[in-house]
Amino acid sequence: MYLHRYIWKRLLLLIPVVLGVSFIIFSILYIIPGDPGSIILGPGAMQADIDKLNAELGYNLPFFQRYFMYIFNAFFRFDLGISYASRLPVFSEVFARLPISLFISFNGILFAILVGVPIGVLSAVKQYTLLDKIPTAISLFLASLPAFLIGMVLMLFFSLRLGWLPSNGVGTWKHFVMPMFALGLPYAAQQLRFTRSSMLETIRQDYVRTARAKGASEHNVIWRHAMKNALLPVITVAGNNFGILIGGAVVTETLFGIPGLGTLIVNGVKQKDIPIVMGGIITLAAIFSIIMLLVDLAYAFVDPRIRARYASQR
Amino acid sequence: MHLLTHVFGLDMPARGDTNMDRTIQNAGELVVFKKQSQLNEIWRRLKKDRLALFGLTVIVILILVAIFADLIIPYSAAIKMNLRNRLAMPSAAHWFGCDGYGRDMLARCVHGTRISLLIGFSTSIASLIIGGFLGSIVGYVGGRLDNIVMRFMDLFSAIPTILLALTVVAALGSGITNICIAITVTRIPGFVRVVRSSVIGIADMEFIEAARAGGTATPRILFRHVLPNAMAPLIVQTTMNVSIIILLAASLSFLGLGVNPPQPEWGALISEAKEYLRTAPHLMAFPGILLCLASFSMCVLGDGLRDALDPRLKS
Repeated sequence: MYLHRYIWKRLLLLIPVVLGVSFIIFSILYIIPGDPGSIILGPGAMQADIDKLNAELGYNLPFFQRYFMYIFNAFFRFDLGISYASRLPVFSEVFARLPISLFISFNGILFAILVGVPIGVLSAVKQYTLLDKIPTAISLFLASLPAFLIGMVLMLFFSLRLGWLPSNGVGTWKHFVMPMFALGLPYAAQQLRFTRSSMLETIRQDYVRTARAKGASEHNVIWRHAMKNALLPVITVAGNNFGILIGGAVVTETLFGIPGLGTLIVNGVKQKDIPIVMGGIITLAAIFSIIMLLVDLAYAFVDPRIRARYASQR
Repeated sequence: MHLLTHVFGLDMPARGDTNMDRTIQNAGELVVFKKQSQLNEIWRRLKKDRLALFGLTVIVILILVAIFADLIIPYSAAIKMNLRNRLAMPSAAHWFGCDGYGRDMLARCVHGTRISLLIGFSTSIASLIIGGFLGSIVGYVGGRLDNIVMRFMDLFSAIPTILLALTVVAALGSGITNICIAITVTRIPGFVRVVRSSVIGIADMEFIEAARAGGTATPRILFRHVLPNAMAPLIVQTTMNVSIIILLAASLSFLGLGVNPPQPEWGALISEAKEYLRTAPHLMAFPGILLCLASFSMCVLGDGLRDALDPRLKS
C-alpha cells in the first residue's frame, strides 16, 4: 500500500500552492498606495511616529522581504498584521468569524448533496419521464440564478410576507435556513445535473446489465451496483462546489447580515482595510486548497482504481 | 459595442450571405468556418434545438435593447431623480414603476441591460483573446514554458473566483473598467486550458506537419492553421462565460463593489431594490427577471452551440 506516500506527496504539494496563492494576492494588493503608519495613527499623527511605526511593521522593506515576512509571521507567529479600521489583530478577527462562514457553507453543500444527488439518481433512472424532465428543467433554471436573487425572493416570502423566518443576523437555527437555501439551491441544481449524467453513463455499462441478468432486483442494481461507481465523480464535484461555496458565501453573508468572514472582507474592501482583505482572502484561499486536497484524498480512498495506480507506482 | 456585434455575427450564421462574409472577413485571423455549407450545417443543427433557439432569440432582443437603449428611452431618464415619483408602482407613464429616488425603472433596466451586456461580452472576449493567445502559445511550444504557465494558471484557479475578483477590485477600486479587469483575471485560466488542450491535439496532426515541412513560419501555422481548427470549443467557452460573467458582475455590484452609482446595472439595481423589498418588490422583479433571462439564455445557447458545432460531443 503506497497510499500513505500519495497522501504525503499531496500534503507537501499544499505548501507551494498556499505560498503561490498568497503571493498572487499579496502582489495584487501591493499596488494600493498609502502606508500603514499614517492610516493606523490617523491624520493628526507626528511624521516621526508614522515613520517609526512603518519601520516596525516592515513597510520600508523591499517587496520580497515584505512578502516573506508576512508569510513567516502568518504561519509561525499567527500574526496577519493589524486592521486599519478596528486596530485589532487581523488574525483574531479572521478566525473569530471563520467558523460561522464555514458553518453556512457546510450547510449549503450538505443541502446541495442531500437534494441534488437523490433527485439526480431518480431522474437518470426514470429518464424521459416527467420525473426526469421536471427536475432537469428546474435545475437548468436554478443554475442560472445568482444566490443573492434566490435569497431576496426567499426573504420576501418567508420573512416579509409570512414572517416565519428572520431576515437578518444570527442566533437561532431559523437564521440559517434561508442562507442555506440561497447558497445551496444553485449547487443542488448543478449536483443534480452532474449526478444524472454520471448515473446515465453508469447504468449503460456491461456490469450493470450483468447484474440485471443474474436476477438482481432493480432496487439492488441501482442503489448497490450502479450507485457505487456513479457517485465517484460526484464526490469531486461536491468537493469543488464546497470550495466555490466558501467564496460564494461572501454574497449570502452580506445579504443576510451574517457576521462571517465574507462580510469582514467586503467591508475591508470598502474601507480600504488592506490587512483585513489580505488576511481574510488568503485564509479562505488556503482553506479552499485544503478542501481540494481532502477531496482528492477521499477520492483515492474510495476508488480502488486510483489506489491501485499509486500502489503500482513507486 | 463593436466587439459585441462582432461575436454576435459568429453566433448567427444564416442571416444572409453578404453579411456573413463580411463577418468572416472582420474576424480576420479568427476565421472560424471557411465554407458556407459548413455554416449552414451548423445553423441547421442549432435550429433543431428549441431551447438554444429560445436563448438565441432572447439574447438577440437584449442586444438590440442594449444597442438602441438611447432610442428607447434617454439615459437622462435613468439617472434623473424625481422624489414625487418615489417608489411609484408600474403605470402607463412608468411601465416598470420608479425606484427610491423616483427614477424611472424602465429606463434603468434598459440602460442596465446595456451596461450588463457590455461587461458580459467585452470581458468574455478580452479573456478569450488573452487566454487564447497564451493558451495557443504554450500549447504549441510546450516544454518548460508550458509547465511554468500552467502551474501559474493552477495557482489562479486555486483562489475562489469571487475572492480573486474582490482582491483586484480592492486594489483598483470599483467602476466598470475595473470590474471588467477583475473578472477577466478570473476567467483567463479557463480559456488558457481549453485552448491549450485543443491546440495540443491539433499540433500533432499531419496537416500541421505538412505546413511545417512546407516552411510556413510558426506564428502563421499557429494563427492560420491551428487556431481556426480549435475554434469550436472556444466559441462555446466564450458563450458560457458571458453568462458566468454577467452573474459575477452582478454579484460584485450587489456587494456595492461593482459599477459606481448612479449607473444602472442589473446587480446594482437588485442591490438598490433590497432596501425597498417590503414596500416595492417590483423593483427587484424587473432587473431580477432580466438577469435570469440573460444568464439562462447564454447558458442554453452555449449548450446548443456545443452540440451544433461538434455533434460528436453530444451525449
